[in-house]
Amino acid sequence: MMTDVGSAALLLALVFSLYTAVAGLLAALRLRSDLLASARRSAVATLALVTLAGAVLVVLLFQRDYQVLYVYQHVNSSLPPLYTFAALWAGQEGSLLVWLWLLAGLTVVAMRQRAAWSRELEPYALAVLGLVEAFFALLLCLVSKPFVLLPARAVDGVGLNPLLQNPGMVYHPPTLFLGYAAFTIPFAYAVAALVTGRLGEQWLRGIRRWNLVAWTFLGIGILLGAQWAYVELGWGGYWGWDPVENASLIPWLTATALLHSVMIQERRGLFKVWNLFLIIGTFLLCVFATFITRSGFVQSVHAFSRSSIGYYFLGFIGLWAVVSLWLIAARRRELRSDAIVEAVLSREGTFLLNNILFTGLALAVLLGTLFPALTEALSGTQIALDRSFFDRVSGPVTLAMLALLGVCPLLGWRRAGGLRSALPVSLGAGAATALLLALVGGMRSGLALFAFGLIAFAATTVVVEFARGVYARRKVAGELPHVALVNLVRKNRRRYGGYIVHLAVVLIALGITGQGLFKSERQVTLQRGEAVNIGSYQVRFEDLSSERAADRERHVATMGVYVRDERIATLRPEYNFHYNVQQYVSEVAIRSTLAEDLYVAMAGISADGSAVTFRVLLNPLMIWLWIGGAVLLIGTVIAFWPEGRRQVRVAVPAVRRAAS
Amino acid sequence: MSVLIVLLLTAAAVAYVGYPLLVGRGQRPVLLSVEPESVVIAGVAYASEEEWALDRALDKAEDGVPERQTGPSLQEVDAEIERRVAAVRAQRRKQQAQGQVKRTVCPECGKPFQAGDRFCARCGAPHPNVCPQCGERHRPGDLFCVRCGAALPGGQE
Repeated sequence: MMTDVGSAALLLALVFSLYTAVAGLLAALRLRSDLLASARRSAVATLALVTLAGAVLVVLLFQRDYQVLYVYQHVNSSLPPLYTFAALWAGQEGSLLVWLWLLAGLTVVAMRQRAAWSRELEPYALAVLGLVEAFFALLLCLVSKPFVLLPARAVDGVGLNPLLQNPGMVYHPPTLFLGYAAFTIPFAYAVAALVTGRLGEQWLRGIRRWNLVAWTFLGIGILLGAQWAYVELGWGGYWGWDPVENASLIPWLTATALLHSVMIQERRGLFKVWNLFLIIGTFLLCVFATFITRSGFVQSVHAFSRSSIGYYFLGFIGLWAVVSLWLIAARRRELRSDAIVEAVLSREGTFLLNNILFTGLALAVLLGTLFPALTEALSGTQIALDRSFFDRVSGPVTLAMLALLGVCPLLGWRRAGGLRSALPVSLGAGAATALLLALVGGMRSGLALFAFGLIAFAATTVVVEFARGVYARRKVAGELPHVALVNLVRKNRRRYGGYIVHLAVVLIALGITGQGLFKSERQVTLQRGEAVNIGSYQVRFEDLSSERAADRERHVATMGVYVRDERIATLRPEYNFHYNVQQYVSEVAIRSTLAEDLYVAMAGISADGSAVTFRVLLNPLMIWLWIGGAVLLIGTVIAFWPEGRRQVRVAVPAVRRAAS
Repeated sequence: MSVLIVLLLTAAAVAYVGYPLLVGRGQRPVLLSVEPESVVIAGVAYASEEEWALDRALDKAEDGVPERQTGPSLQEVDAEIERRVAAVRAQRRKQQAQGQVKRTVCPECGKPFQAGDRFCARCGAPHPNVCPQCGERHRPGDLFCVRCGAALPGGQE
């Protein structure tokens, strides 16, 4: 019975999302406000129906109704409640449902925004959003049905893959999906702006918060995924250039380019076509990421099983790509630039470079990801690119980005401006850091010195920018330094929030560089009482305890960590045999400090249980990656916070009141 | 049972979505903002003159005077007001045609009063809802004038 209600709710959601699209379009064409009101309500109804379907699935998961295929496949009786809930997005059907639910929710939120700029665009945007929702609802009704029943009720379910039983499973997928889904809103408004021809800067300003929100959730989602991989997979790294990881990185790269190039259009009226390309491209790349995960098109640890759903995604992407290109071509006259880039060494010039780097890297990662499929199509054999290709491409580009990050904030629009006074300070800091590391720290690698120098250079630029702003405010308004700092950020939230994000990126770069260039790894087989030395640590294997749990056989090693014969910590990595997947899964133990992570994973136990193979890693500066993520969140919240400016508004009486 | 639930669900959703079409009424219009979105100085749009002043102090901006403001112009706001007034008039005409609005007519000659009239434009008879002492219009059914406090004739209507 419940499955019938769930299926019916999805079918109704399909009908109402289609109605949203049709009513929105008619409202726009016939200027009918009653149709628009109806379309808005239809969007709310769609959200309610998808919520109902989702609630039904959650209830079925918690009831352990093993006659439902999805429940049978993703939970079992020993699964804790938190992961039972997370099983909602563990499978293809459920995750599509979550995608649709987030999109429906965001659509309703977007429709609450009642600003003058969105008045003419809204009906069209609603129509586009309705169509996208309808696509996902169609998939859920036709190809990827969550409420399929088994002929008979199973005794117990298969359960969640043990690798997914990590807190990361609870927050990584929804954060990422929220990022993907949120990019639909700018896309819908971009199409609406193209259709109406209202291509001024107003709509771009209007959707900038949506760009920022989507970008933030996507970025944080990627970092959370990296963190999950780091603590769960046991190979000591956090990023493997896996196709699905790449697929989420590509739209984030284009979105980063977008966040910057939008500013050029706002300020100078340049790059109008380019911005539309970026907005539409980012959305389509988000859908493409979903396609990569679900089609079995490329091999990946993340991928769901191969299915025909890929063709639907390809059709959807192709259709919107053609429609958008046609719209842009039709509007090319209106999309001419208002000005030209006068100097490379200006804000817009460096933003242009930034865009080339970000989209170039996105393109390279995209090609690398598709390379196996492309070679298979052309020559019949798959040739996969290993991570050295991606490292070789992304390394130099990242360094170039850091260099830009150190220069660009100092420049003014149309002119080189503040370089003379500030650049020497940043350059000096960068050079001094490299020199110190070489002479005092004894660092010999040229690449590392260059990278750390650039990091110091970029970080100093951010600090200098804050200091110069405070100084300027003190001079003009005569404020005390801390008051000036608060007011500086408060009155220019977007700019200084952006700078804090820059700082976060520098911190993340610090983590990536430290771990990438200086990690050390040892794989050793130890008897009880034996120890392995890594860096300044001595890690002693003290004991191994085994126990049988309901769902797995647990083996916990006790490791003493010593520095100069002084015990500083105890680590307990696990190596568990999970009955449902019939294989061992390692649980990592990590000791984090600001300087380095000591990472211990078990890689095998000898047959008699006397010797254990350990993988012991030292990942320098690793924690700065996660600290950078937190700072990034702070920066975007500051940039997102509405400017507290006085609003002058002319209220016009509502139709009803005036008529009576 | 499930058929019943689904039918109820469908009916509720259709009623909710169809309601605006049934009563023929749209959303309340958006508030109009006449606040400038940015000010252009030396060919660059700034959020405010204050922002330009900061950039000037940081040696990132040219000297200059505000050239123009971007954002909705007064003409655009004007056009929007006109559009809405037209919509209100159209709505009123429609309601009149459907006989939804009752207009007061002159008790002497039968000519309908216009909004705000105190006397009949054709025969000069006073509007039935006007205070005989001070001339203030009042609502039908008021017993005393809200302006001068005089007792109103008729009282009930």
